[in-house]
Amino acid sequence: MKRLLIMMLLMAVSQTVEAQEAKNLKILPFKTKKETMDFMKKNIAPSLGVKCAYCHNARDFPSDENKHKEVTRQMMIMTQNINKNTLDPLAYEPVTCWTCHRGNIYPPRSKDDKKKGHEH
Amino acid sequence: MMLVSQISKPGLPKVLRTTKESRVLFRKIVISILLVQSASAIPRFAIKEGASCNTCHVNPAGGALRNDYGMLITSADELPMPKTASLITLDDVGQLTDHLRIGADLRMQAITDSEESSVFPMQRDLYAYFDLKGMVGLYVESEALMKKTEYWTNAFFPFLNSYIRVGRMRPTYGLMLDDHTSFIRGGNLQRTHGLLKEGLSFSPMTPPVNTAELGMFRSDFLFTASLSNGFLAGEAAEASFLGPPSNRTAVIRAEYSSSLGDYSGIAGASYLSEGSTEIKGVFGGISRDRLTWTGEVDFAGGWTGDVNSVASYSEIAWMVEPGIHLLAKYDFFDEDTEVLENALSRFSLGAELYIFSFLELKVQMRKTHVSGIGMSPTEFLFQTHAWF
Repeated sequence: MKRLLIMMLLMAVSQTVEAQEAKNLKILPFKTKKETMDFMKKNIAPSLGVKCAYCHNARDFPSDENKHKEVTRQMMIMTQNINKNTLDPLAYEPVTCWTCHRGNIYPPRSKDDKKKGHEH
Repeated sequence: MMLVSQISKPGLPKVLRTTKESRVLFRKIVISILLVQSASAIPRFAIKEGASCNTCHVNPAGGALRNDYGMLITSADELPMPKTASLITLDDVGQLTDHLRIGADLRMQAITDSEESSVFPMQRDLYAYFDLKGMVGLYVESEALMKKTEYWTNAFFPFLNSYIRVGRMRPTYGLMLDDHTSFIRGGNLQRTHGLLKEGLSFSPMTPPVNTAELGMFRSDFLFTASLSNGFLAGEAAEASFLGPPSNRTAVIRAEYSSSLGDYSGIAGASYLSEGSTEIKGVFGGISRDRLTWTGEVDFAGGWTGDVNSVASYSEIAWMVEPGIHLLAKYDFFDEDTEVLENALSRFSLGAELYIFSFLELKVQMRKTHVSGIGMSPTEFLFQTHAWF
């Protein structure tokens, strides 16, 4: 009986650890949900001036059902490429989402573009 | 009019200040506070985020068990004092599996005035939520102190941005404050000041009832509409799922939450109807930097006999630094708007300290003024609140 209880406890603990793992990450290097959410909250959301629900189904964060999430992934790949292929060889500081977005969903495309939110 | 005659009865004290009366009053306050409102939330955090309460709670209408965001971001990072919070981290222990989350809210409270003091458990709520990919959920809440259980199931329809929630619960109305003694919620359950009603119907004494709720998300709007089986009438009205038409409670609520520049806020309105009782009101709040104002005003017809009543709530919170919040609150309840001498005004000053990601200490001092009678003794409240 004691063994059974210990086994059940261990199973519950292992399930809990598994439940804390980040799911469906294709670009970001994080292991846990906490690391991922911290990064999103402190970097992505303020850079774009959005809340979580702009890209996520707030009841199921790993889900890809929101098309904005895939756009963000492509933007991350673009940023990584710029840093790796262009800025690193020049020994320049890396760029981030904020470098262009500055708190807006759509950064201005030219110096005359005053609009903050034009759709593609 | 009934109240005027009560107040002007010969022998009724004008000011409740004698020792014996103070003790009776104190006991009534203790009993009143013992009974805690469940499924509550702290709306000023939602106002500060410029987001709906469901940002942090599994209930799509907000309150009680927290979700991933509520635990991993708000509880872990945004609420507590950074120095103390880093000493003990509990992470998200309630997420047992990918589909099952459990949680709890436990509160102990001490209350004292110049005559007496008392310590008692205030809340022992346990929660469990089974979630299937954010599409279907099953929720159970055991309110151990009240010996009541709330349970519901919900289904989301992403293509319509809507959900349906069916079960045994309290309808969604106004701000779901954690302080049930606010007059916009349950107020003084023991009618401490001798009025016929000292608050609205959203008290812990009002049990969860059979309810069906439809919710719709549209951009930054959240609409809910529900039908319940005799929420105000109580458990006597449970002949069938929704009971006889005269006992049905219809509630609608609309809420808009957003941020603009340095400002964020929520604005909304609610309407409840059951039999000859109608309660309608507006609620909301605005936040900038470290200051947040939260408010609600409700007009109730037929809630206290056949007269019109008003309840309001206003709170200013200042986050001195992360984890340290100072609050000033003003609660108002007028049982009969046509009579001058039956209004309660409660002034509260307090502090909330978020020590760890799972522990809060609350200190509060408050006084109540009853028009035509006078000021009650100053009460001091100390509360510890633990959750996961």
